[in-house]
Amino acid sequence: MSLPTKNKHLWSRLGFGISPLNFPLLRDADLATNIAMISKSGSLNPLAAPTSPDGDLNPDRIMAMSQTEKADFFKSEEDRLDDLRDRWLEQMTNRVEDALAERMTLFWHTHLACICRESSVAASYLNTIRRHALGNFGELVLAMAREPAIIRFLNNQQNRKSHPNENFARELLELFTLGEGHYTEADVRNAARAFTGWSSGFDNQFEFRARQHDFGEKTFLGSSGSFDGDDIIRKVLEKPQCARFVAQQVYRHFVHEDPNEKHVRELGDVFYDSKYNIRTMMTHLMHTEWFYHADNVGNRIKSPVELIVQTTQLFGSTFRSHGDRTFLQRSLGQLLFNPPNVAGWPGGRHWINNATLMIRLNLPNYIIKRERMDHTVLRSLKSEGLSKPVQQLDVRVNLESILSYFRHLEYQDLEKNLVGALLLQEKAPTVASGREYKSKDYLERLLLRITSLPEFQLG
Amino acid sequence: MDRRLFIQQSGLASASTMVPGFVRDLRVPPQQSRSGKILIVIQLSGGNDGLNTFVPYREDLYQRNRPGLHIGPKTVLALTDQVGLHPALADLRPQYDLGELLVINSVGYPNPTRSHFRSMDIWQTASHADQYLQTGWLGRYLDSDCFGCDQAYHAVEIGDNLGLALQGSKRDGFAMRDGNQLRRLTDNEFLHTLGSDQKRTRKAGPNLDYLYKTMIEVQESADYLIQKSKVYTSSQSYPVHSFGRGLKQIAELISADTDTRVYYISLPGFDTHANQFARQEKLLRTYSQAVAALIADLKHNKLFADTMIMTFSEFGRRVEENGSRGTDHGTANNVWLLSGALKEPGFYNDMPDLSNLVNGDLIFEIDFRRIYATLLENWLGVPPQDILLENFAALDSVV
Repeated sequence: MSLPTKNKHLWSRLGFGISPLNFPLLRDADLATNIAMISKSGSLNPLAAPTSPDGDLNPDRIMAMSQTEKADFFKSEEDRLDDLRDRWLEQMTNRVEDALAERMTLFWHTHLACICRESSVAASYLNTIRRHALGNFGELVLAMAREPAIIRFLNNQQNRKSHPNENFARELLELFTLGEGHYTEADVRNAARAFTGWSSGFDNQFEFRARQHDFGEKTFLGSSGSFDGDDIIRKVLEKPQCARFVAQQVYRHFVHEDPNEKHVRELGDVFYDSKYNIRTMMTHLMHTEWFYHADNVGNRIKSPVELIVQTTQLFGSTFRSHGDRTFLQRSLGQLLFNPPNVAGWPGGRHWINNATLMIRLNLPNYIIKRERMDHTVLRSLKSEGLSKPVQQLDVRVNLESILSYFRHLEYQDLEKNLVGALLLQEKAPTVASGREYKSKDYLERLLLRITSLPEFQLG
Repeated sequence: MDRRLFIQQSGLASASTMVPGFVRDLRVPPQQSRSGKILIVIQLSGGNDGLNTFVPYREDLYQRNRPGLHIGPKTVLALTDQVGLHPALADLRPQYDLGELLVINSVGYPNPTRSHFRSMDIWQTASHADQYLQTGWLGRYLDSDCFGCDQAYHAVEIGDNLGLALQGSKRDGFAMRDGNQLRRLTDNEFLHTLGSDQKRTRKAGPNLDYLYKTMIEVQESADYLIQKSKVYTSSQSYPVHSFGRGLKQIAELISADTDTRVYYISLPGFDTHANQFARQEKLLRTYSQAVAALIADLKHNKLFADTMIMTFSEFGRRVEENGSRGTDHGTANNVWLLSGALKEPGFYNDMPDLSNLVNGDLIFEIDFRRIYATLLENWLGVPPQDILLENFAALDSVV
């Protein structure tokens, strides 16, 4: 029962891999049906903003706090962010019919990276991405420029007519839309002027402060006018380079770290011609031949969040302690709402070092066998820093939901079949010896070992 | 007991017999650092208040800006008639007197950021303020094919996680808290068997090959480091604190002739916006007791002249204290070196000019990357330019 490789590849790259939830589809249906299923993914439900007992807090109220109040506030905000992270992960884990939109949401969080320290603006930022995840890229960027999380992270609060702050304008051009080398420093300066006064107010909502806005004439990408922020974004979208740049990032994330110029151009053209319809671009990708080329299959290092989501699905895990998944994200190097900087997580081999690799390979042991971890993570540079060592994950598993698909097979076929289901590689090292057939937990052992293989780190 | 004897008795006399087989296959001659020098980097996370570390205790402007927080002539440990040590640094007083301490004032970089994480990234990656690098400066040192860099444990971070400073693009440093933690992390029978079975098999696909290679390297390095960490037991008394245990670990590994040339360790908690006095005092006491014990260990084994300890923080603090008996995020700060090999110890440059501030903050005078350049070029013996990505002049007469 080696599952069809193309099906596995499709779900691995555009969803969260094989799980009991999509197993029958992967096994029994052809690629076209799988593509149809995965691209049916609709728009996502917003997640409720975490509620703070003190009501809504905004920068001015935070500024007015004493140091102790501030410390307490950010500590409780961390808990609320954890709660939001958990609920986000649960959406990724449980809603296999929306896998594509969830994967795109995760991608946009890397592409339009933002560090959020306040839970209500984090929720708003996330919900904007979720709303547009498979929608129109132009609308997504227009909405992002109004997100308080982005405005605060990229200092647009300080972008005033008298003293323009270029941070947002620069990252908009360099990282979100055009890519380096496709605009001038004068373009950055003029774009910054167009976004002056784009701020966020008391209620954590976007606020246009007309008195701080520069209504004067600007020259941007070769044309002049009294542009505002929306005009700047529209001008950017007119450039085919914008579609090509985003397509290249999509390619690097979903296909291969080293972009193939011809394929990127093809994807970019589709994106541009569709007027930046994200679903159209992604559906096109699924229908190309090159997406399934052997060089692109089973050679991508899963991100920590993908690994956590897939392992949770596969093992039917229920995390019972509030902070455990946050702890795993931190120790593996990808904490949601906390990318290293505005360039997002670099990914690929950057995920791997001696500590993260061993935790990744031991993860099935930590979850299924609840083996002792004894690991600490840095919570922040501010406080004493280190978390209490997490000795053991507080998690329950239900392996039967996946193993039931294999129970009817003969002992001697089990290993081959599990490998064929769980891995993309055609060959894998033998994980069990012939004498182990007889042991009662043989199937569990196979599952544990196959998911401990370095091969399982790749999707 | 003599260290050499210790090492001989524990059967580890020859470093080359201890080199893991897998690694040895890939390597040319047996291990010996070309320079023989060891660098220890200590990161004080959170932004240490440099003005209350090396204190301009007689200066009017200092006392006026710090009405509640200044350390006065009565309590300071005077080094000169102008500058004194924070009293909690008493254990390091002998190092100043013996010419084993060099303080570099007003270190920073242009357009400083006051964000902890961003500024720490800048220090760790040696980037400009508006540049995002994905590799650390010591990671790029490992990437530079320096002598012995192909060993996974050439640079070790004491802790559970590997920070950006030691991450390169070809090679990374190695994170370990202690032997026990490392054993627990690698103690997986299935993975061990897998590692030895697959050692000689080249895997299809570059990433799969990389994962196997890394796994096997980690297992073999862990075996090596666990054994090395048992060779020598320090008799010094280190503070009971993770930082104290960490420095003890470093002292023991160095004394066991471990082929590790760079050690990296952090002491967090310096973000003293409120009640700075008690908090900084506690942290600096832990720091100085631990470092003094480390130096005593190294001297006992005649290794201090081969060791350089650099201490830095991601930024200093505002000159004027705030309303909560604390200080807010600042910019330029001091960096200090401790070693038995300093050419002209004492103070590298003048104390910061408190009458010339920008927005209440000190103005930087020496780019921190010049200190890195000095350590790379004159201590570790590698050309710094490719590692620091541009030319930063080494400081004169440091080592």
